[in-house]
Amino acid sequence: MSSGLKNKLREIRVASNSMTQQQLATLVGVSRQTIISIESGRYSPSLELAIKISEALDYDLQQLFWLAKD
Amino acid sequence: MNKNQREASVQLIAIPISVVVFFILMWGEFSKPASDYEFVWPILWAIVASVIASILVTIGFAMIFPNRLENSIKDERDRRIHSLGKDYTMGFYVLGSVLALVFAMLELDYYWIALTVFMSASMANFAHSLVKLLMYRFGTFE
Repeated sequence: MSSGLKNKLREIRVASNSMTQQQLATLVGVSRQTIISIESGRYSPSLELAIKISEALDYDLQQLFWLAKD
Repeated sequence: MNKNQREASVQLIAIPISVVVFFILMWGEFSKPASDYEFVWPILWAIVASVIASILVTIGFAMIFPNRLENSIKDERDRRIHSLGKDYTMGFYVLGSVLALVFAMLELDYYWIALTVFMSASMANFAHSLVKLLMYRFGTFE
């Protein structure tokens, strides 16, 4: 349904002081539904948003988002 | 449901109402030859019906689901879905335009040209709203 971009956003977000989807959404300037869609793999964020998310979570971008090999 | 989803849902109801209003108003004309059809007012009333239906359905949604509208900002996903929705449904506009051009070249009655433009615009808007709602639910199909 979406592109080959995978992520472990939910895992990292929860590990990051149990940040809520709404808190992360507010930090990066998007809606909570967008965070939900990214976590469930239904939406691939732009590079700009991916960088904002990685900075908000203080986590390496390439560890957070990667392309599926197949 | 965010504002964009609500607007798309409203259009899914308002556009069929508009088309139904048009054909109800045209009903009496179909016994005449197409060249004698009085179609201008039915089309204008159909557009008015679409606007009124949009307003009423929006108010109805707000009354039935007062807390369902999330206070969300319009972000890159909304813009992407809107843009993709237009891309996916542009074919209706192109098809309608080409058909209207062909009908004009064939010098068909004005009614058929107007009907083609009206229906292609209605179907394009309906499909756009439907595709947007599907993308909000299932992803962007990319």
